[in-house]
Amino acid sequence: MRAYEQVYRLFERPVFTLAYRLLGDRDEAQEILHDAMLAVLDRIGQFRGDSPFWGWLRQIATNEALMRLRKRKLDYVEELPEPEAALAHLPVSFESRDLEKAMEQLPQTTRSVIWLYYVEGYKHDEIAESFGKSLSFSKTQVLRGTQKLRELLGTTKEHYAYA
Amino acid sequence: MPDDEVMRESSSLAAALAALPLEDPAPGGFARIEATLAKRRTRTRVVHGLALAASLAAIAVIPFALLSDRAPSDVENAPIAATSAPSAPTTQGALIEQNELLEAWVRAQDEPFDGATAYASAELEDLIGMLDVELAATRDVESQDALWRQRLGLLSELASVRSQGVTRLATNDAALVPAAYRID
Repeated sequence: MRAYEQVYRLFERPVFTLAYRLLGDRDEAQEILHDAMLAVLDRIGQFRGDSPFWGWLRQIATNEALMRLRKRKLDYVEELPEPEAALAHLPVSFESRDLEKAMEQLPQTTRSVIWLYYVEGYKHDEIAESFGKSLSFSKTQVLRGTQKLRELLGTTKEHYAYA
Repeated sequence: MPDDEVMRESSSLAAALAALPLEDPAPGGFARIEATLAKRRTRTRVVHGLALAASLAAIAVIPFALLSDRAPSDVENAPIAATSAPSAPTTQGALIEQNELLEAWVRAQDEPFDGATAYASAELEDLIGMLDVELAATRDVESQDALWRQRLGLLSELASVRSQGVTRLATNDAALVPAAYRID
């Protein structure tokens, strides 16, 4: 068990973080961590040593999280961005805590789409398939979510500047 | 917004999101994993134990079933243990020999050093044990051949697990974790 425990200790935080970013719920993220780590044991025969282990484990955890997301009622940004605001740039610099707070203010589904697109490198068609939605769903969620982040970060920066 | 600006902004947002600090799971996660694995092992043993009991019961019934199929006069003269094995055909002999060779090789190996390998080995050994019970109860040569082939397949898997080890994960630890998730 020692080698497996080492693997667990090494990857528990990355797996938990990934699940938490996608699901926005610590209890569910904990369950994903548990299930994904057990899946490692069950499916280790499928792991090919020629690809990074983290990539393989990350895929397992992402799939587990997506299965849960699909069962949820979708919760996403529906309003269209203002044409003027859509041209607003992301603030040049911001604290990571500001970004975290801004992410927390996004509807959960939008947050998941943003994470899959920007961090996990999912393409729009993959996101659409994951949520059982159309291609335009993914595109508009990325667009609107990004726009919302810009707004929130701008507000947050201003708030902190005057605090 | 020009395309190159969009790209630059996207990559800066991606980098900023990926650089967010790691979250800490609740403590005791590995203990829960160990508890789940222990439950699984118990459940597997119970299932195999029930199957084993059923097979043993079948073995016990076989001599009586054989006897009851015979005419009364035959029964009187029939040996109780009418179990002299049919002369093994060459193919079965070869199968048994291969089984024995592989089994001897597996026995000569050191005990598994990691949990995943030990777990996989135990599962395969349980299955091989079940086949042995079935083999002991099987009189039909064709069925025996099939069982010996299955046994050889399982032994090959076991040999592979024991020689390569299931866990090839703990090597090159930090290099496996992309910068965005690096644990500092």
